[in-house]
Amino acid sequence: MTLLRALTSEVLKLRRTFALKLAVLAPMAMVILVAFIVAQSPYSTINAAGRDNAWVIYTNMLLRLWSLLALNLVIILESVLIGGIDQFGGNFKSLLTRPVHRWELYSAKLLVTIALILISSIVILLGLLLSGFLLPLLEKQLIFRRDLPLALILRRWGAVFVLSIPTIAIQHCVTMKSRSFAVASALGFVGFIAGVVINLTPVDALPVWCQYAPWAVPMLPFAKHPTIHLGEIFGLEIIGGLMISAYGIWEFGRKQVL
Amino acid sequence: MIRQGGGPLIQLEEVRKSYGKHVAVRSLNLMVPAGSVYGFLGPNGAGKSTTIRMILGLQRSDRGTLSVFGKDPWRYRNQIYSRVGSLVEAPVFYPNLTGRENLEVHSRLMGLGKTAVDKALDAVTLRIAAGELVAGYSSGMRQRLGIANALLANPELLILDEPTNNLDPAGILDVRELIAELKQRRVTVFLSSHLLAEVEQVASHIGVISQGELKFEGTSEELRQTVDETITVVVDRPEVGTRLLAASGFTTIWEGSCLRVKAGANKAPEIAQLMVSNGLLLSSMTPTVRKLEEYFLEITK
Repeated sequence: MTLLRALTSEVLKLRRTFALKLAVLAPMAMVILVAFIVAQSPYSTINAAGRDNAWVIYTNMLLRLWSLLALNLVIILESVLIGGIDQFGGNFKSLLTRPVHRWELYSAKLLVTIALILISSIVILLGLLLSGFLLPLLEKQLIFRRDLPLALILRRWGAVFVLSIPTIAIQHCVTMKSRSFAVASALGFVGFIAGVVINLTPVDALPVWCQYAPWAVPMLPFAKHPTIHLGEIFGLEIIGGLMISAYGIWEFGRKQVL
Repeated sequence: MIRQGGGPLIQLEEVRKSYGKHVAVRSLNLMVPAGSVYGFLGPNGAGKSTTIRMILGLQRSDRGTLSVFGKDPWRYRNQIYSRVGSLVEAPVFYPNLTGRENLEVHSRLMGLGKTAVDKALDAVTLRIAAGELVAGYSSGMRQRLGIANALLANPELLILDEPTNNLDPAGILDVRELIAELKQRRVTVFLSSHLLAEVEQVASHIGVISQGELKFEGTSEELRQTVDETITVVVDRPEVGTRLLAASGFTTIWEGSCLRVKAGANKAPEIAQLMVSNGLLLSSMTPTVRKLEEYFLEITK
């Protein structure tokens, strides 16, 4: 019950914030950018692999770019904005004297961050579908099949979102622990760069554990590596996310407010 | 020593808190009776805010015992938070929200309705500006909103850290009246300040802290007596001396190794005889007449 109270309180704090706008604008910008590129060069991208799988290629293209370039950045910014609004703003000295358990405050902030990333992911999904229908109207050479492979799109989209949760958990934990905006952001950017490098490096050149790096896993649904077992990674990442959150809650519970 | 009022609502015994090598609070003993307005006085950097943070369970003491409503505030935070309202140092708000919305953030956390927000806003006469964004508030308005936030849950214990900072004279008067009203309602107020005049006007009990140690604790009346004509007596066993003097009708305040006896210089022979005849080793006796400010400055040096 008090978790619900903490949640409604966190939602109220989002009013007129950049965090809320970012959740919608960042994925919209990504969709517009990708759709623009596709519209400009229809033969070199979508239709190059054959007309029958334009939807699949377009889905992969958009979700890969989203998970590789934008998703981790959005997670860093949202985590720092949601957690940092109290952590770096000095609000904990009044918030933490309210009769709500600290684990509930921590969890409410984490849930709001996950909800914002979900909103971003939904905008990407809707943008993907809308732009997929609009592109052939704008560019006659582009041919998207009428029978939309919705199940495949939802599966890949869902996998990207679920695999981003451990990164959210890590980023949230660091934001709530560190007293500096710079530390929380720096860790995120290092992770982001590591994720990009891992995904752009040939699989044979990397040790196996790299495929489990939290910042790299949202790209895994599009990988063709024979050693990757998506189900196994799903399980490991979820357990990892829960363990990190449990540690974050424990740390937050003994946090001394200066 | 406090001898008036109800049972202790806040009690600190031998509390210490340090940050690395810097000792912010050392061996602090403090007792706030229920229903009192306790003025917690001390210069900047004396350890007032650290003490308040420990009382509120925001920080953990290195050693010693703290109790608020009879419970350790660090271990049983949530049990005391529903009964406490606080304003710690300069109030911080969400600039993207209005004054009312800022209070709603807290009222939602506590499961309170909009009536509680309205009542708190009325208490600090901020209802008219409640719909404006806090980003546009003056520092005085923010201070009022901070007090409203502390009052939100109708607390039994109100902890105010420098509440009149940034307030104009009218605002200071409002806070004073508010505290007087709370006192009538038997709300215990713990008021921290570095301004003697501010505390003296509203407090029923006063504690003076300096360099992390309590230099004086007593009722306002006792403080006034202290600063009138007194004789400072130094004996080898001050606890015995206090008892003897009290039995002979003297008001005595025990300050470290000294006994401050409320008496004119003409009573010095009588006091000396009392000490010596009961086997105490009398080191010195010094009659003094001091003003309140002088006393405050002296003990907070």
